[in-house]
Amino acid sequence: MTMIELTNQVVEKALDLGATDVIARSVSSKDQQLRFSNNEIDIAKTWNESVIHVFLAQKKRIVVTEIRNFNKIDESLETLMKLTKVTKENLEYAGIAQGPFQYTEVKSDPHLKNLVDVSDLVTAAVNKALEKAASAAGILFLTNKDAVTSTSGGIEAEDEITSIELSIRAFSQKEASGHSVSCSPTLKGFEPEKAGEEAGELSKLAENPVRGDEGVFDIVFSPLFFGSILSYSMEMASAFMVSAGRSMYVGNLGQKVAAESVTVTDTPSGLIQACFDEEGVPTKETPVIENGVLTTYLHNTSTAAQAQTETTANAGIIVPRALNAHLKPGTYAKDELFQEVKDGLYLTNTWYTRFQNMQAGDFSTIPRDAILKIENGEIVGSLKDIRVSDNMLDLYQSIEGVSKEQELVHWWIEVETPCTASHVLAREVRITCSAK
Amino acid sequence: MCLIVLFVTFEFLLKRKDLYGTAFAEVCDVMDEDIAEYALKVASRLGAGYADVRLESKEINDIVLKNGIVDVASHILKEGIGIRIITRQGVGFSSTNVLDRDHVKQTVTEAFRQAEACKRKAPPELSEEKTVKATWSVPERVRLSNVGLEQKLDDLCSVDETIVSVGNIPARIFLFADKQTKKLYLNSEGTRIQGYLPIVICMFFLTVKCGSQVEQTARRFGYAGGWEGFEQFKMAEDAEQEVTMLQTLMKEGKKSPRGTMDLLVGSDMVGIVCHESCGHPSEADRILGREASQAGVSFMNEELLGTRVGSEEVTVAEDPTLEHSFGYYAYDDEGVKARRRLLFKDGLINEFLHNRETAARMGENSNAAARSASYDREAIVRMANTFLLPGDCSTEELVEDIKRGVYMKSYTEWNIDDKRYNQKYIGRESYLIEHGEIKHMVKRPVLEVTTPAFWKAVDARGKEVDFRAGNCGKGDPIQEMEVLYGGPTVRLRAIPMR
Repeated sequence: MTMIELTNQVVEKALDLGATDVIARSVSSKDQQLRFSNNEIDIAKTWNESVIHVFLAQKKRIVVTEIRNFNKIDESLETLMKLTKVTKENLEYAGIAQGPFQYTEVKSDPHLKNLVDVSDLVTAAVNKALEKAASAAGILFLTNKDAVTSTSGGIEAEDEITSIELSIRAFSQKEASGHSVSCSPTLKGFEPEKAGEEAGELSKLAENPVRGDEGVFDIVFSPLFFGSILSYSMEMASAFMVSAGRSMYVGNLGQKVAAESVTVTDTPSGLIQACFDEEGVPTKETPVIENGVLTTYLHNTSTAAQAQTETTANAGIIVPRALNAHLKPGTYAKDELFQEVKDGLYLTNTWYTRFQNMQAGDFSTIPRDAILKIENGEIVGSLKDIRVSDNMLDLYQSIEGVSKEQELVHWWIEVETPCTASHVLAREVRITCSAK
Repeated sequence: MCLIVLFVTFEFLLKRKDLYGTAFAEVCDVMDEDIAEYALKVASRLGAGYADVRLESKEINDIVLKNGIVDVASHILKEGIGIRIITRQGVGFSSTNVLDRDHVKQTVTEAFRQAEACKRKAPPELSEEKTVKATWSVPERVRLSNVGLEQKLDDLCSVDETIVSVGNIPARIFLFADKQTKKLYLNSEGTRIQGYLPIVICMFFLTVKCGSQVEQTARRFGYAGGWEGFEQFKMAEDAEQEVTMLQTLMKEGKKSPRGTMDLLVGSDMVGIVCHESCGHPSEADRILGREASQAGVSFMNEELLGTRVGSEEVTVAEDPTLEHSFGYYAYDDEGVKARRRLLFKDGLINEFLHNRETAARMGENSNAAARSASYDREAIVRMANTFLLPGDCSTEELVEDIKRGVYMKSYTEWNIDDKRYNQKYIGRESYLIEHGEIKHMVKRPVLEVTTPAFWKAVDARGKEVDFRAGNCGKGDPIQEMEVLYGGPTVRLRAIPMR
């Protein structure tokens, strides 16, 4: 039986059992990963998994499950229907998308689908890094998923998603590192050597770091760093997060939340090139921040209906989420951004971003890897042990320049939403340090 | 990195003794050992030097209650098998959720092929450990399988109703989950272990308003055992106290003093410091660089074993065997028997956390720190329950000779760099201390110090230990792991505050 036949069977069976809305979404994965450190591969992994995710509503009673044993579909659905009898009504629930829809062509890359041995790609990246660095660590991840969705809203849709990404951190000294990524939905766009080279070069620039100073500085953020800020921001643009209070965008719709040079769009043209969301709605470009103004939250059909608007095709059936974030490129060349800085910093990566208060946007994050001092537009030294302690809304407001050159970045949980980001210049950002 | 941190008080953890391991047959069906043995046979036929197999069945029930509305209830059965193979060339791992012989054979073959693709210069090694045949389980006074969704919803909704009456709380989220995990572990050395671990998890995230001011709070509760855990959480009481405290803070809280002063740190914060600034830097995989690209490295190394990192008041234990604790396990996911580890002892760096791979590289034995979040994830070095051992002071004794200082009872924003050296904590529930007395609340005191600066400043410990439940994230793909951390209230001398 094909996956579309299986998901159709799930929908029909659930309707027979009394469900009023049903979404059956199968994901079959053949993913690969290589993890490496100290210039050697530590472990090579593959996953061969098939799961049917089931969303089921009986009027306003909402339940979900995942079916992994396809011999037990009926049993799983019967168990799920029993839950609808005892769960409470979700009075806010407003239904699922009604299709059918037309979709764009599947964008998967046959070269990635057929790629078997990826160890040479790692070796190439590591060797390039070692031209400037002493060691390198990282991962290479190859995604190969087939997604099929059937719904009681008349939707039958099939998609194939491929992507490849390398994340590499190179060390020239114990406390001198550089981090770079190469992410692409196609093998052709994948540049492991370039990422290795950049990580190695940054690690060289980061050599002999000295403790940074507290104060307020102009900062050039790399795409990897700013991608992290974008990723956290896009998570907070989800209508679910707004209603849960976990967002700095609460009450800010239509308000200025960033400098005019900032336009951020959710797009299907990034690392994850899905044709439809988890409800089967065709994905599309959705400007979230346009010229600094918050224009929409990210919605599925139900949250959109609650807000009396249209879905933005960002289901997550319970929690809408961004697909790929895209920062509109600016007018500056990267080097021109540096020229704008008399006394400041170039921050190339960050981690461990945490908020005091998600509604207020007060946060801190810890720059890691190359932290470079800028004087009169030139890099003049390497720093360590600093923290960005500021407000994220203020940070967006303080953006003065966005570079024309862009990179597609995605890294672990720090850039969880893939982002197409630029180098960004922000003025007067607060830096703190541990007490001496 | 620790993703979410919440709270539970489990004083009894250090005192109680239940009969672990005796109830296994009652609660855990024997898993399909044949398919696991078959996987090992295939690995042997392929010529694998070593193989281990983890067969797992996890039943998960979740509820999301947002602003008084049940957003969703879920029931998931996650079953599958993960196979690790070690050859002279490297380490391969593969998993599948299709548990027939054809798919398992294909999965083992894939793991073997992956191991061969590593092309390591030197063959990987594992430390030598005892071969074990064992079963273990965590007893449930009220079995999770006997508690229906209706009761869980009623109990959770009553917590929400309680706190709504306390104040203006425009956004409220309660999450509930229970998990019943059956594990079968086999390796090619002859180890055979079956385990059963039931756990209960709750958390809340509340946004509290007072006039134009907004504060937020989040807590997690975790327990290994049956539904009795939910009752012990006392979540309604805890949430109510948090809301009341935040309202007082917004109405009456004053600016926190700056400068060098004594600092009283509550169990809540001591726990997270133990986790972030002792547990993580003690993970041997970080020390050896294996996590360098993601979760990071460590300021510690083998040469620092036996050197001073804190005052003599500082002994930090890491103990998976605390009964009913959120991080409980009897054997780790490499089949090594769990035991207490003393990471810092009397202020000295004493022991690292090891799996068999890191132990072999450092010429040690594993101390059973290999954990995996699921059958489809590799077992890596993880914490379980990390805590500072208590002293003998009452809170009054800790406070009485502080002339001017701050009491940070709980924290909001926190983070630490990836070498685990520079950390920042911002107080949530905090008070001014003057002339030996706890005075009014202060707003968001900031502690930003290095790891040795924190531990070396500890000069006295309380005698009561509290724990928090947490969800620790590490590995790639990320593995969120149930952990607990805690300690007594401690006093630090001459700490720079802002």
